[in-house]
Amino acid sequence: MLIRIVRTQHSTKTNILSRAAESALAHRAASQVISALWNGEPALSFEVIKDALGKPRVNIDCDGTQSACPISWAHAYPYALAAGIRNESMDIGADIERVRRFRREVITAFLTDRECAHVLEREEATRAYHTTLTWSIKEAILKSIGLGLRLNPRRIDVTEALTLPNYHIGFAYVDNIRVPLQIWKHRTADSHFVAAAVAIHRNYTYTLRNGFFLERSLGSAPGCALGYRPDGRPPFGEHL
Amino acid sequence: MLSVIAQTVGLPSESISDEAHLADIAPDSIALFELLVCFENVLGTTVRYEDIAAIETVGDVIAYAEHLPQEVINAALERTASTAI
Repeated sequence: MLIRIVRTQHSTKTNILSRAAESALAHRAASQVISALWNGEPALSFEVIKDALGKPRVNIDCDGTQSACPISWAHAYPYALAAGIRNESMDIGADIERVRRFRREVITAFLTDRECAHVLEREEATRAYHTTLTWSIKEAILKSIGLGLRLNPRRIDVTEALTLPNYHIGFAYVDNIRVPLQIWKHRTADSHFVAAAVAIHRNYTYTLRNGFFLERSLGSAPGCALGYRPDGRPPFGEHL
Repeated sequence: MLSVIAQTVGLPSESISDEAHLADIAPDSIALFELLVCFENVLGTTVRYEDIAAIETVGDVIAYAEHLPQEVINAALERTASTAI
């Protein structure tokens, strides 16, 4: 997994960039990731395509050879972050957030009980950082599996990932299923922002088929075309 | 609904139109999530996360609230009225 963070020199009073400026910044970060993934080889062309769930991939043409790579980007003024991986069997998600304090009702709405306990064990001065980092990792996972906020963040538990070194192979739990992942965590030099990126094998991610969210790994199991899970748990498949 | 959105994102109600995209008035995904939690508190019910994909504008939020069961809307109105008193 390769990650790049870029910072805009553009200043705003509102701390919000226009959509065009945000896109340009994210494009800059994504271009750097693509260039680095292909060892600086100049691309004849590349285009970003999105799957049915809106998850981006880059199709790239280097020396007439076509390749595809999963990519993800995020922005939080004044930064943009992009992460990519040259492995089509993986899916990727990235997020960057300004460190902030959360209201208790918001914390309990997205942290699992285990994550809450982990954050509360931290010194009070660093709780905002740990809470924001937890959100950022969850958001990266939600993006990588393709569902975004269509999945309640409390259905994901990242307690183990919080304790890992900044770039590591670990796991998270999605609906109590252990999901192996590559995880990268970062705090910007000014300490005001945290970023996270994860790469997850496609078997653990979702697709959209016949109007239902469907786990790819369950695609060939009986009954899955209707979005029902063979293990008897309630179906996650819902019409968009 | 409009006042909840305005209060959460720190903008005056009159500056928010039905056509405004939530992604444009909430600076990031955490702010959007905070909005969601506020709606749940005001409505006194949980929002189905699967429905969120269809909600893009302020008007979509209002339409979503209007399609909730009448007893949920009545209870929310009663809570709002008692808070105002």
